[in-house]
Amino acid sequence: MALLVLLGVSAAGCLFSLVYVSCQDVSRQNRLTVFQDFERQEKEWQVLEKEYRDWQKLPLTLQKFRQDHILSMDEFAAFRRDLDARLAANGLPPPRIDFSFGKSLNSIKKVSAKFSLEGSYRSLKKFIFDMEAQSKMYFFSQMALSASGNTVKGAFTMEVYLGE
Amino acid sequence: MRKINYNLAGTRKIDVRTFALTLTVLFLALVLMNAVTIFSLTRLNRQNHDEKKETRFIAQKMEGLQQKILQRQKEIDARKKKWNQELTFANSLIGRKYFSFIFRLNFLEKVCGGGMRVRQLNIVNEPAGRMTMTINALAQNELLGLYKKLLPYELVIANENQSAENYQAHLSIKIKDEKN
Repeated sequence: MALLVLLGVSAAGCLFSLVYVSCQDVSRQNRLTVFQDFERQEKEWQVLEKEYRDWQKLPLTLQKFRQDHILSMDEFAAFRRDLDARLAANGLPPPRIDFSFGKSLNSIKKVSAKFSLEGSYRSLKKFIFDMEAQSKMYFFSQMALSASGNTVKGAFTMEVYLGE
Repeated sequence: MRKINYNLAGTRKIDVRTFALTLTVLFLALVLMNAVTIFSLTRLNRQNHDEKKETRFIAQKMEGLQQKILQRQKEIDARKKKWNQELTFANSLIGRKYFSFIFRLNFLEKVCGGGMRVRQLNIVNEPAGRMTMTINALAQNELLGLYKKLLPYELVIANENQSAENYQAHLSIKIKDEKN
């Protein structure tokens, strides 16, 4: 009789231990969530580190951008010679060019050049193409073309950026 | 009255072998169940201990990492504050440098048919800038064909004049800033 009672108690204990282990598995899921949070945080850190490295490189990148693309005063003189040369090469009469010098922003000065041209559409287009192909920081900001008989009249505004 | 006791056993003696066998089986079952219980609980206890240790370690690391993230974010914000204006300016210059007038002229040459002529054209180098133009067409269907081709480019027709000689339309479009 005592053996049977012991057997019953043991069976109940055994069942209880199995149920308890299962319950602990559920609570283990909570701990897994902690691990997942940690992984997420690590990924966030990696992204942030990448962003930080990019920001660290930025001053050098901006400096290189200035060196490679913003014109010095000597290069501005070269630009003006180049502009005249390309106008002549495309058979466009030498225009009057009005330069206006703007205020400095981030040590870069904007210079606007306004001029009007008259010639064939092809020569005007070739001139635009030649000027657009340059890597230095000057570009057309505005143009107005109008057909006039067999020629095209064009009013152009260019912007040139000079470094200080 | 005399009480009658029935003895159904074949013999009065206990079958020792069967009894011993039954007792052994019960004992073994008892041992097995206790062994399972002890094993489960011990294993669970060990796991719990290990995991708690690890969780504590992870929690400490998380706290440290959180501090590092906050610190790094502050450093990034400081750099952003210092360099953002210059970066935005440089990006705007690059965007305007890549704006191609030639691409837009080529586009117009492609969409305008033989019976049409662009009388006036204005292009402004701005991301949201629209190309405005005056088009002359000899036939109405050519002009309508042009409208159809320009529809995907946010076509706005300001006005259209019809005369005996031709059709004239003032319109504007917006082409995505891209370089070929």
